Amino acid sequence: MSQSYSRRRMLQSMAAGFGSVSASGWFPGLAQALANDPNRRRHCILLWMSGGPSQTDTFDMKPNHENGGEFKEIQTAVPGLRFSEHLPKLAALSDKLAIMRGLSTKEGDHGRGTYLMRTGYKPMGPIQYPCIGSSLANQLAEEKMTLPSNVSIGTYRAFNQDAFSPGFLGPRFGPLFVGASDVPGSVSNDDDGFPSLEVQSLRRAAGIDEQRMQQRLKIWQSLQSEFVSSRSAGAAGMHHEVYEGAVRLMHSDDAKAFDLSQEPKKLREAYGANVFGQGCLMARRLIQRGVPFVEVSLGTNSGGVGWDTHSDNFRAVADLSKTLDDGWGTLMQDLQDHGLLESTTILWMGEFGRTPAINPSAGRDHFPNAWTSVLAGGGIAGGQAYGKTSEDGTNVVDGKIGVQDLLSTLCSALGLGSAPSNMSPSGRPIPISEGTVIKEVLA
Amino acid sequence: MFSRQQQTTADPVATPKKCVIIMTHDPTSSQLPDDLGQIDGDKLSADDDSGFAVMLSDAFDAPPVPKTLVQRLDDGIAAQWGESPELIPSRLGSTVAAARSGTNWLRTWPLAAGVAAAFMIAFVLSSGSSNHAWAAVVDAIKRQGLMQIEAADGLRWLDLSNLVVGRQTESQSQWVDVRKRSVLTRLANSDTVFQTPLEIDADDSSADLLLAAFLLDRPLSSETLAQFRGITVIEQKWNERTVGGRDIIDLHVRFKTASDQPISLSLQLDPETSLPLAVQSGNGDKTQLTSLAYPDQSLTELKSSHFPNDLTIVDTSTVPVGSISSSDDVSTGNQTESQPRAGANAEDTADSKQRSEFVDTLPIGPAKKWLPVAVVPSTDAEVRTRINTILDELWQREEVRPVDMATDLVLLRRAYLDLAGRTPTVTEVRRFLQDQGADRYERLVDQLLSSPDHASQLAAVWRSFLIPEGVDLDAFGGREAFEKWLSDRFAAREPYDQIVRKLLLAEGRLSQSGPLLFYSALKLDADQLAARTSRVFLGMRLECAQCHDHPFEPWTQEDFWSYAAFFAQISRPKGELENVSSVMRVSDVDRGDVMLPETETIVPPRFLGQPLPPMDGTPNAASGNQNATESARRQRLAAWLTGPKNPYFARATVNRVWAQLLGRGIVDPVDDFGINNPPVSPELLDTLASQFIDDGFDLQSLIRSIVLSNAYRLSSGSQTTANSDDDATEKRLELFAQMNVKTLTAEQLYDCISVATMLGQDNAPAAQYTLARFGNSQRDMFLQQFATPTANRAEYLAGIPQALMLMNGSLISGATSEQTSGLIRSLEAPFFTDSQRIDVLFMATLSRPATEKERELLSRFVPENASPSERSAGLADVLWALINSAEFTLNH
Repeated sequence: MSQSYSRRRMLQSMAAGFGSVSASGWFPGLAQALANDPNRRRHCILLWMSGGPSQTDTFDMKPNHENGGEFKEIQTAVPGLRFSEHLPKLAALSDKLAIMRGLSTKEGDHGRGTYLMRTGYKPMGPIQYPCIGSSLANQLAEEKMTLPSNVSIGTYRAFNQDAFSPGFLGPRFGPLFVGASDVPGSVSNDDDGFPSLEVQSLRRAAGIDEQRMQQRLKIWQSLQSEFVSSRSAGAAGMHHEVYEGAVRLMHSDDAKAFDLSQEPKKLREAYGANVFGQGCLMARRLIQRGVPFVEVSLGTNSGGVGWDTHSDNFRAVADLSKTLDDGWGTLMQDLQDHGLLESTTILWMGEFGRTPAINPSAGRDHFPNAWTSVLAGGGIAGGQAYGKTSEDGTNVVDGKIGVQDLLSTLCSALGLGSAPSNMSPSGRPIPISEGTVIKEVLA
Repeated sequence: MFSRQQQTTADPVATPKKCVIIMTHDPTSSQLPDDLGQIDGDKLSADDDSGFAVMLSDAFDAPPVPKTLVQRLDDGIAAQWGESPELIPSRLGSTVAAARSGTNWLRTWPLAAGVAAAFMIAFVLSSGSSNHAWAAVVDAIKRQGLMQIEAADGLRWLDLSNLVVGRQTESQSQWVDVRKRSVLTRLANSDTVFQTPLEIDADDSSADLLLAAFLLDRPLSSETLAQFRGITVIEQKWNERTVGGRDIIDLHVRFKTASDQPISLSLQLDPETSLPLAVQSGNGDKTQLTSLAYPDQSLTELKSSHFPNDLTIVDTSTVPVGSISSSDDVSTGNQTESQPRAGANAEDTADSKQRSEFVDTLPIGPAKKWLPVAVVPSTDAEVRTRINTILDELWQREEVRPVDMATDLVLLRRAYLDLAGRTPTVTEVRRFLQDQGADRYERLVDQLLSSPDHASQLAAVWRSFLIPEGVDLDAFGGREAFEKWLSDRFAAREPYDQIVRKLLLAEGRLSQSGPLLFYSALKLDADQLAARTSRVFLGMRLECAQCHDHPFEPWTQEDFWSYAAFFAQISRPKGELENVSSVMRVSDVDRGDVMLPETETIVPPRFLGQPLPPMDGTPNAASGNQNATESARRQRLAAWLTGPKNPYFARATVNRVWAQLLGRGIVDPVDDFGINNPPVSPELLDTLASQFIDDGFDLQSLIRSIVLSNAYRLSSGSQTTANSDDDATEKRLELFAQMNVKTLTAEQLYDCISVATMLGQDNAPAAQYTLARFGNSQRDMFLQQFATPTANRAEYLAGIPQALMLMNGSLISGATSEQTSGLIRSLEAPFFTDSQRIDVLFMATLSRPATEKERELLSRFVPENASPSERSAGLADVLWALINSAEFTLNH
């Protein structure tokens, strides 16, 4: 289902609705297209593991091999499917997880790997590919939302800014970053000891009441109109569009989705008092209010190495696994409790895996040749491992897939068909991915 | 990717004996890692034992040198070479040894001592009974008289005793007399000889310099002279061998110039006469020879046969010189000859010829086949007229009606943003308004081009081209250090080709920052360096051909890797580097190769667009070998890449600058030259490129030509209803018949906010306002938060988070609040009227006074009868709205 909207047309409709801050109905055509789609209201959550998580210490254990490392295996809810001992909650939910053990890619550099996994394409060529979040937001977004269609929590972008960009889709589908971990000081702890995740500057500046804000917006409108109307076709139109989105968000009732203090303390604790855990909770709140794509990052942050465990792998991965298990496990349960799990597909991945061999610093290095990602939730046939690596974990011996296969499978699970396309500004359809759908893991 | 290439001696007769050089070392010296870098680069990085390379690179990170390191080195070398050089001898670890064969090093010894020393150690070589040293060669050539080279494009002569160089090609003959400091040029079959002065220092007339330049096929131009200045021999080595029953001597000489540029030369000598028989080009087993001849003619005879005495001599010394030599560089294997600068008398004939040549060389079709830019020397005014004419004709042809010209006030803001990276201060706006001169815009441009803010703005722009996003450079001094280096270059108005050469040839430890940051950012990786340099300097996304032939352009995978091969011989540990360390060094070594991915095929260096080397070993310009045998690959690349005959360099550069100023390129995207993305106007591209080359790659005069052109001065808006059709607008924007609206970079935005609201200033700005761009932590913080992907400047890529930040964030709220804003407080003075106050706000932010309509509209929010505090609050609201307006946030 591709939206046949050129950017120009989009801006035209924007310009037509120009003049009212609380703009509504930018895309009547889009709404219709969506209404005809039986699979509307689908959501995707990307759990992005920045730095590259170790498959051998999480979902593809090698307990009988010297590469296996320090961790023990545990049984999961599904007989024969085993995870690391540090993922007990996920083990209990394993009937909803499809472990993709045969992932094999070629980019072993953080920047390039990040771009590849997040866009489906190698970082080259003339096209600025949108990140998967922007692509899916474009496919899944609904018309009447006051919330952004793409929210990214705890993000670390420094490996490759372009991998977090809406690319040719433009700012409407760009991620709204919350608690970005690459901006020092953007997350502090609140009184209850939880990290205070919030959309920065969403609230009016101190000393500016709503009346004055409205006054300011009135002046802004009048100053803006003449300039923009004579230059609607480019940056000026986009500037206006972004501002309208920002103003709408400021005044949106749904912006309460970002206010985690409304959740029971007990639930917040279950998610974990860290950015990832609270981010997972925020993801549920956003999904609940119709946001089609939410991403929560765990791993590298400013000053931390996260999953990039070149040394002291086991202590670091044990800690990260605990955070992951609490956040993700609770999220799955919570989505289910809210009746949202069926319509929400979850993808867990990083930019690459890590070497099965353990280096002299008790670390594991970058390894794109054979690694693991996980699909879960809506549209996914859980309780299985798809693909197999060799005894020592260095090669895929069965069910080898690439990033395009993974993303095509995700799109299918989201009801988008196997090869949905975005429309480039020049009116050319550009597929999100053209891989082979792994039917075995689809529900 | 890097593999060791076996250097085989072509001749089995003379097997060079091993010569071991001992480099003594004080183990306590902090220099140790430095020399380790050299060992690594010279020998070990090229080896296959990656474990050892890793160990070495680990070692770099750990100064002071761990005691175990020498032991580990020892073990490593033992494992590698089968024998230990015994780095831990009885005298506590004081020597580090490396094996070399057939080479002796006479670093920095003067020539005479060098010759003497060559004798002293001659016993390590299989021959050496007679004097074959460079000095002897120079003497022999001086005695001989005329020397001749038959090159692909014609004949060249040198008379070393009289210091005369001559050259004949199909299109012209040239005669350079160094003593008389004159250059004679005669077009083929013309009866006119142009005489121009040769600008030269007395020091540059040395025989060493002339001979080296001649043998390396460098034109005798002021550039060459400057490059070769202070040339001294630093190393010579030779072999004697027998070819077809005849003894010959291979002589390899390495020189150093005053500017520390290495130059090397390989000759085949006649042992009897010490005269060179041939000059050799190429490396390893792919060498090619160019024969040298010694005609019997005398110098006078030769001259009169090419420049008969009855020809008219036109002295062009009144015309600025420099172009004859610069437009005449044949060192890059060009196919066409451009014309010398014509004097007034000869303009008609020369001009028509130039025009036709100009058309022939336009960059149309596959970039692979583009010819060098035909340089048509013109004055700045001529160039500007030509730009305007070309676009007028284009618009007529395409039936596009350009929008109105922008007002001078709009241009004021545009020029400040583009040239100084910031908006003008209120004082500067006022000064411009008071200036009633008809040429006030022209004068403004000149003033801006010489301002310090221009240099730092240009540096920020080039930094964004050269350094990829997301690379942590803090260990090397940070992006800022690179910008500072660039800024200093631009401020000194160094020619662009020279800056690029400095960048490409940077040497030293990574911790030395400056141009080395470029190498740090690209991890010294041949393929990354190839990808980035081809994008920025050649306008091509060559990396698309990295893994397979280019999908859209006729570039093959081999084209990419043979270009990348020029970066293969840089000292670096083997393999992909996760991180580079600040103690690593960049220097040229004689090993290292690139291979086609997933094959074992070594790809030799070859310039882009040059044919594959012929199999029969005839001389070929493709790898630049005939010029500089065995000179470092980067040297050859830099000479080719920045040369005036490079078909891409000047075009790619002018296109980038044009795109920077006009919002989109003549070829757009700017780094996508090729048959599938033709220039909007090839004539426009080449007019600019021609001027750029003719002006000696002066960026500022290029920028000046563009910002004074009509296209730059067009409005960015289209007001009339007839013009509001989308497609028509799009077409106008594409054809530069309407100015593209450009998004401010995060840097520009911060600087504009800073200028407008008088951040960090107590009072009205001084008459000469200069931004503090470096070492400003508040600015750094803003840049970090405002970071947006780098892409098309005509698109607004900031998102909701940035909009929220500008609406509600602390920086703006502080800068606009009536309590804290320097600007609002400065308006409290009672002598202002409200309408003047509003004008100040408009001039500070939008660089223009408010219109009648705006003033009327705003009077509702700043009513006449308001109390001072109400008034301040109203003004603060207006300032807030102005800063958040599209007109402020965009360059229009």
